[in-house]
Amino acid sequence: MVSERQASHADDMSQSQHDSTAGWGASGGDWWSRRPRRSATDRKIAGVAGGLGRALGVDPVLVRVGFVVLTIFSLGVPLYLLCWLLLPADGDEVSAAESLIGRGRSSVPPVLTVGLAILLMISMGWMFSWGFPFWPLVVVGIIAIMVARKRRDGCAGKAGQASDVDDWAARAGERAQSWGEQAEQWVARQPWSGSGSSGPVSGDSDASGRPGQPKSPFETPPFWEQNGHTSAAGGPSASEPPSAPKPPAWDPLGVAPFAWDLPEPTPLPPAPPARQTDRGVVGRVTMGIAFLVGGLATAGVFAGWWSLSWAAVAASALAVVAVGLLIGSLRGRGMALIGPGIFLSLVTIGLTITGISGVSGYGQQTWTPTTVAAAESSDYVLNGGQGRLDLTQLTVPAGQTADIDVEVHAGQAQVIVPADTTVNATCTTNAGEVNCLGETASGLHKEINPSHQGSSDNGEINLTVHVGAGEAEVTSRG
Amino acid sequence: MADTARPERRRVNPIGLMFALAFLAVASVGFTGDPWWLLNSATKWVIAGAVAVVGISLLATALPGRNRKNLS
Repeated sequence: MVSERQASHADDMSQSQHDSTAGWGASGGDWWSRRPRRSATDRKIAGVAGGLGRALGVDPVLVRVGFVVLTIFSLGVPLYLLCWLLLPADGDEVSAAESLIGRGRSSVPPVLTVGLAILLMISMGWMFSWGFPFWPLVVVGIIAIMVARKRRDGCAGKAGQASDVDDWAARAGERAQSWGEQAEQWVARQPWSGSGSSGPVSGDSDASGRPGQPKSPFETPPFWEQNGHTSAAGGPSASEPPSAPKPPAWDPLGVAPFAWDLPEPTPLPPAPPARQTDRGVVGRVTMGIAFLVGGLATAGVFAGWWSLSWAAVAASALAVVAVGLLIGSLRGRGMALIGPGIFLSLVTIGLTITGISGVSGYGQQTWTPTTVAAAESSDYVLNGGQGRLDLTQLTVPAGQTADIDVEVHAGQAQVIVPADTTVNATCTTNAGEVNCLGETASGLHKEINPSHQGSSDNGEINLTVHVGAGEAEVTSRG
Repeated sequence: MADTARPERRRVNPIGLMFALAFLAVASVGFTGDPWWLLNSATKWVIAGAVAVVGISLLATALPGRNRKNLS
């Protein structure tokens, strides 16, 4: 028993040593659980740089400098917020984002987590909407992957050293096992061991009167058997229940037969019951209805049964989740629906900003009307992509006005107007940039109304350009 | 003694309630198709609704029959 424990302990030691040398990039399968942790000691804000430096084996100051440099490219803040949300701190069970959806405990309060998520969304939108150069993100990703692979290869090199440790542990285990067997054989050979197969056996009784034992040279039995543990016949009587022997009060040499008996390991306490999640009946029914409503709405759009915008499709599923969460909250439950609700909210907001609807109208489109009737009767609408309206060949007679609307939900709307025609433009965007007739604006919910004065020999063009998310551009060309 | 055997009434989850109302507001934005509807046209209705919810909650918690029912 002791030898098995020693061998097992040796195996555990070698395994733990191997694991400690493996690092977080050793196993590709559970990399998520081995991701770096935010440092609880080396921290300036949230310990992200300290944790990354510890995991990558570099000075955290370098990581902080990297964050500052990335901030110049509008990447440092969202990257730091992302790490704050996705990396658990030392001592935490899960990250802040996972804790918000009920995956475990985190030291980050839920209110702070929601605030960080909002800040992350704002910074990400700010980063991706205004011509963000994507190459720094690619470079950072490549560097991170290379460092992780290098550390994993280094660990594989150390695996050879770890095999020596394994051999040493195996030899130590075998040696400990042989020592244990020798000790057990020695105990079995002793006269007090109670084993009848070894040792001199005679039919005489010893001083305690036990048959089958060699005769004791003493006249009285040992003192630990004089306390009533054995009957006068030399053994426990049939009427007495067997009781555990009590060790003598004074036994410095450990001569009592049971003095070397190790106590039986106490059984492990039962594992605590799994944490009850809030995904009860209300959550399951709500998610089921949300999937049904969302799927039915999507199928209807594809089949042409109704002309819902994709924002309305997402909003229908979100409304179901909201109602289920409302009912669950009144019963003290429903926390598990917050995560799906946040996801559907982001999708709904994104689709509302773009205004995408239908299954057609994507790609690159160019319109070139030549008459006022053709220009006003056509719909210049594009769901996603680049729409280009060339009005240079359009002639508006004097005294007439042409009203032209261009709408691109996600992408770029480019309009070219003739330089000799008066143009009253209205350029709007929900999120993005407008550049119309020399006036520019960028951000959320922007609108500008520039004008271009042309020749009095021609009429006027009232131009309205709307882009949901992207860029609206109006230029004049002679 | 009979009160101790009565199952404990679950308390209202305020965080879930807050998120539910926020999700309903976002869903209304999705249905209208106007991302600024909630901030422009519906602002007065949102404020009025919030005030009404607070008032109804105060009234509901101040009803005398509710306290008597809980004490019994």
